[in-house]
Amino acid sequence: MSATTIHVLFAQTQSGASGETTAGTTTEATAKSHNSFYGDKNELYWGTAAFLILFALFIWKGVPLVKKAAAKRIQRITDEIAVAENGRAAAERELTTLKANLGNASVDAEAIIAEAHTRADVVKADLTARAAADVDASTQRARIEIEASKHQAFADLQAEVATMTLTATHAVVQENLTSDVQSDLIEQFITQLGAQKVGAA
Amino acid sequence: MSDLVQSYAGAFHAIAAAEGNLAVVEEELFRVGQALEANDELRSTLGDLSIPAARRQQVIEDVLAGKASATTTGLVSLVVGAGRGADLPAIVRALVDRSAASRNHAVAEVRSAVPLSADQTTRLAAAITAATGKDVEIKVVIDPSVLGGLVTQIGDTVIDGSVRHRLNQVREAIA
Repeated sequence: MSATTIHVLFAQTQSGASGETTAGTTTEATAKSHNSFYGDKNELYWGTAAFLILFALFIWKGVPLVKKAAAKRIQRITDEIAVAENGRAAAERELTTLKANLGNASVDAEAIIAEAHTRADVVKADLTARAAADVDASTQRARIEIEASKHQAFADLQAEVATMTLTATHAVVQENLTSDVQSDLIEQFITQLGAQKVGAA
Repeated sequence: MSDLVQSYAGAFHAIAAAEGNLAVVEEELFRVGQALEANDELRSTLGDLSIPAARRQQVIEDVLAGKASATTTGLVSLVVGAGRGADLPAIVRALVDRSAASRNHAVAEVRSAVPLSADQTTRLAAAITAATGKDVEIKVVIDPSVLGGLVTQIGDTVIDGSVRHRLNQVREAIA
């Protein structure tokens, strides 16, 4: 609402209270006001006062509210910024941790691979040694078995030859054991026995 | 067992002496004992208690019929009937030892592939006496496995001059 409008309303109120007796005055004042750059002084005063009052009210009541609201908003934004800052810092820390972990994981992976290689080498060496030992043992067993088989075959052959020789000898002896030979053998035994000393029971 | 064998041997000796034919009975029993030692089936049959005693005795009487004196047959039949057929060789051996001992002699068991003449037996006894210092009585066992020569056993001493022994020595030398 402008100062002019306030002035008109105030003027109408005054005219209602005074009646027709003030009609001529009002018209005059209106004319003056219309003719002056500043208009009616009262209107100016009242308008100014109202303005000042309203302005003071505004300063008194409105400005703190606005300031409070602004402060609240600033505080909220500050808080949000702080939260965001904290989040960013946390994210950065997380990122740093992840990067560190990733670096550690790489190191761990390399260590694991190196250990696996080492173990594989050990297992390979162990298996190779065992295989070599098994081969040696098998070779040794085979040699022993071959040697035993050779000896057994030789013994079997020797026994076979002995049996054949004895069989042949037995046959020849039996064929030649005539009664005269038998008698000679008995006489020979008697003669030899009589010539020796025997520790009989 | 040893006491039982000795008891039977003593009884046999007494009976044979009482019958007055100790030497004959001793010789016949010795032959029977040798036959039993050489024949597993006969020894098993005579020692089989599942066979009735009368039947076992009948077997003995059939085997010895005309080959041994009545005293010998009766003694063997007695032992077999008592279920001691398997002990008969040991009883006979104890009897022979007892008889020889009663004459201050030792028993020399001589194995030969062929029978010995009386002269050979006498000279063999003299040779054994000369070698051992003991008077001996020769018991000849015909054993074809000897092949030739003689195997003499006096107590625990064995003097082996057989062809079989020499062949065994050859076998051991070759093997």
